[in-house]
Amino acid sequence: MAETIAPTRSNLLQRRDQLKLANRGADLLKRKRDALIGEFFDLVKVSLQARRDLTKASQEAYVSLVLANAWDGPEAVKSLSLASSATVEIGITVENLFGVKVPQVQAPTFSNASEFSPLGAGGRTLDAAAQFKLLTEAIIRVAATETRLRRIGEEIKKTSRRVNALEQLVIPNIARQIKDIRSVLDQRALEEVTVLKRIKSKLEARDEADKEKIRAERAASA
Amino acid sequence: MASNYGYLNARVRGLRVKLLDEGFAQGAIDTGSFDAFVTALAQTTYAPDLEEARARSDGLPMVDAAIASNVTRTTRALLDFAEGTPRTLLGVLLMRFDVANLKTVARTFHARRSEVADEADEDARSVDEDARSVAAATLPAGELDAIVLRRMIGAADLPNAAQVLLLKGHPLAPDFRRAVQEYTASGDLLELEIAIDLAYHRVVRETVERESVPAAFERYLEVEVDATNLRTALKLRGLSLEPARFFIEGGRVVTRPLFVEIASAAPGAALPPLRRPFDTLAEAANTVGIEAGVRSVLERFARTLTKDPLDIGLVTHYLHAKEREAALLRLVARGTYYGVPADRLRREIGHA
Repeated sequence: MAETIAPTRSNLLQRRDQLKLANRGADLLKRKRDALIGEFFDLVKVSLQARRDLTKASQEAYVSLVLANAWDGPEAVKSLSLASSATVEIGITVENLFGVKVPQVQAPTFSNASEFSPLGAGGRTLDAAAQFKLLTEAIIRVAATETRLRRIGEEIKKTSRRVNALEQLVIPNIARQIKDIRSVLDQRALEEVTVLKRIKSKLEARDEADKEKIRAERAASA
Repeated sequence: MASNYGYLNARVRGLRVKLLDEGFAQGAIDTGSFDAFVTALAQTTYAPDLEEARARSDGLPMVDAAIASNVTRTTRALLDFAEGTPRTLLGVLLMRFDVANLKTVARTFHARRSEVADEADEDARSVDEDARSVAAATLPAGELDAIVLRRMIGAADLPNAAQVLLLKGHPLAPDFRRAVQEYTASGDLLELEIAIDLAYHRVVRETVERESVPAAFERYLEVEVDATNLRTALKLRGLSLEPARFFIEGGRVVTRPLFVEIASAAPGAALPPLRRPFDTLAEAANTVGIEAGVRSVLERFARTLTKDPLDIGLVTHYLHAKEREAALLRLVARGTYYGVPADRLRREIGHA
């Protein structure tokens, strides 16, 4: 339902300011969206590379696990897995990218201390453990880039919706309101002119009548 | 003493002819089917093990269980065949399985302790489930059989598990108990494992000094110590551990300074020139290649011991061959199960 606005000059001035602001906002949002799209496509390349790295690391890790189970025996692999508590520390900072809060994930750090004695530990099992550390790094890289990508994607969608709302709804609405107010004000101005003209003509007619009357009285007295 | 060796070696010769070689592995790779591999395996000495494993599981776990059961059955049979000095020396050769199992028991209690301290895991697994998973991490192919290991795992805590080992009268029991006492105070698993490893090598040395061991076997043990030191030094690369603590006395090629030098090098660095029989290892491209090279050196050396029929050499070589057979079967089982390309499998068999 259209908003009813009093067709006053102050409302007209207010709507004009609003229109100016809305246009500037839409322009800014468009520029933000373009910047985010540029960032998005740069990140897509990084993300695809991270996915490829993950696939490769995953293949290598699982092949090395298969070989560790074959050469060192599944018992030795299971036994070593009991010794390792396997905690991964990841540093996450929040970066402000064109007003979007995106996580910046640092590469995980693995402790180079050993919880078990390397004496007698299967070489292939340790190799598999090293490969799985690389796989963990690859997973975290993919998670980091894809989270950034998702956040930026969501922001692009949100910004596009805002631009569309401004361009399709808010700006036309304000423009229509301005047009309506201006037309009412113009109408009023026209009416005022007409009324003034009529008053003027009546006043002139009255003056003429008065003058006629005076002239008639003077003629009668003479 | 000679007759003791004679009987044992005669039985080992009988077992040796039943070993599955690369030909069996190649045949299984050529068929490329896991089911065909299992069918072929069921027509070998693995038949009873496979039958027993089939009742409990299927697929790869079934084959793994059958291989573990076969290895255990074989070493148990060898221990039954032997008596006197050969029995003692065989016990020494198989004690590495006990060391691995003792470490598994220690790791199990350490993991339980961490879980209790953490109190994060609300869904605490049942004792039975835990025992089953630990049983899958042990291979009772040494002096410690499955019953003793089950009792140790089922003990209330690690000191009680050490008590079970002491009652069994195992040569490592006093050292294990001492190490467990220190672990109870410190909670340091690494120290406990190092104590078990050092105790094992000391017990081996003491046994060799006590028994009348043939010179060739003594030389083999020296090569084995060198191999262990070489492997350990490579594993220590990149770790923040003091290398000298892990050095085992008794080798000839890898001296303490050389051990520290190899362990302190960057991961992936080439090996310094080594004396015979490890002189060929410098050509190996990576750690996996060096590991395969060390295994090959030990096998070659063990083969030279088979000439004397009244010696433990034949058993030593047989144990290497049995270990190789088990690794080959596990490799082929996994290769055919996961559909690993035949070329890749053949390349891996080349490491055998």
